Amino acid sequence: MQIAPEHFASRRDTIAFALCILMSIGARLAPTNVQDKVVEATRDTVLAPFLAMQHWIENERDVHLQAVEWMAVADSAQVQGLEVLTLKQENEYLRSLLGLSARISTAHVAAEVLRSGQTGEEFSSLLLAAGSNQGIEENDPVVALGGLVGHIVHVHAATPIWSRCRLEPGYSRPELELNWVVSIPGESRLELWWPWQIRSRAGRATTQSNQQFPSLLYRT
Amino acid sequence: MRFVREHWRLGAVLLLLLVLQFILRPLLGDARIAPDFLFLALMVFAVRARPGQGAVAGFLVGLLTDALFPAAFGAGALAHTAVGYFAAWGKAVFFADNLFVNAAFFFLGSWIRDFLVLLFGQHMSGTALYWQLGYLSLLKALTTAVAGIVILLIFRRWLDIRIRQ
Repeated sequence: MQIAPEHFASRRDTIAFALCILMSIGARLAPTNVQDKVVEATRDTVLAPFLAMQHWIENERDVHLQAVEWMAVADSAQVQGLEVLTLKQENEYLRSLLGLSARISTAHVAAEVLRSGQTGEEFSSLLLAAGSNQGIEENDPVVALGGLVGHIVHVHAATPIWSRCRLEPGYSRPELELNWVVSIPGESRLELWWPWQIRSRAGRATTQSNQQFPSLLYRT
Repeated sequence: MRFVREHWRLGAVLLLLLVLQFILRPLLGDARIAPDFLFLALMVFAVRARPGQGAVAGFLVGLLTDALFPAAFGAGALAHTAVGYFAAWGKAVFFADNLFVNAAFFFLGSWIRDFLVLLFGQHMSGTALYWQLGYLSLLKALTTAVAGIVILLIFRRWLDIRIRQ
């Protein structure tokens, strides 16, 4: 690149310089609303593509930083998962030392609580969508997260997927919402896990199975 | 033909610096000390132009910076006009195609520009003013000079820069 001829400023240069200085002073002393209009116009025209580019770059950087953060969280979760496995093994070992059987969660089947059909009956018993097909027998305990809530009083013979549970006195009340668990003692166990509500309106009880989740029947 | 090609090359470098100002600078950390590529573009142009052209270019660059940071609108235009004019004028005294002279131009120009902006802007005073001029502006001038050297080294053929005397 050729450097311009080396000479000091000509009159034309001095005039250009003086004009630019005067315009700068004018811009500095201009009213704020005029300054704002010039700023706005410059940003909306000349600077607009460059500012858009900068905005895009900063967004990309933020997304990248967020992705790194999420990756760190995922890695932490993975490490915690490994710790859970270790704890599980330790728990099994301690249980074997104490002579305890395996936890119920390792031998259960979830089932749905069905509508009772008879007003008032829900205060004492529930119909379960799990029956002899799933290995349920009479007198099997019914447990929920809070503990024992009842026991199986009848297993339908004609419809082997149903059984009836009698609630323990502590649970036979309105405004009850539980995730039910039916467990069967011995080798085969059944767990019923379903949102269930019993509501009382104006002195008359209504039953409602809050079917937010699909029926989950499984055996171990 | 050669004249046109050289102008296209200079234009390409200036455009690159303009783009770097908005793409690279936000990624370089603290904006107060990050290299000012827009100012570099002005200096690269000014030492290759007549003083009047340097002044006009400085005025335009100053208006852009004022539009970006309108704390003291007009002060940036005034400071850049003065720096652009005297950078172009200074090439008559110094060797403007020498790498280290250019680096010194960038360093001094950046610091003097900050000084003039603060002087005419009157938007900073007391300890903050001394901190800005004595520390942040110096660091910014240094990073700008380093960035300028890198740019000149990369485009030394296009910009006719001599590494040795």
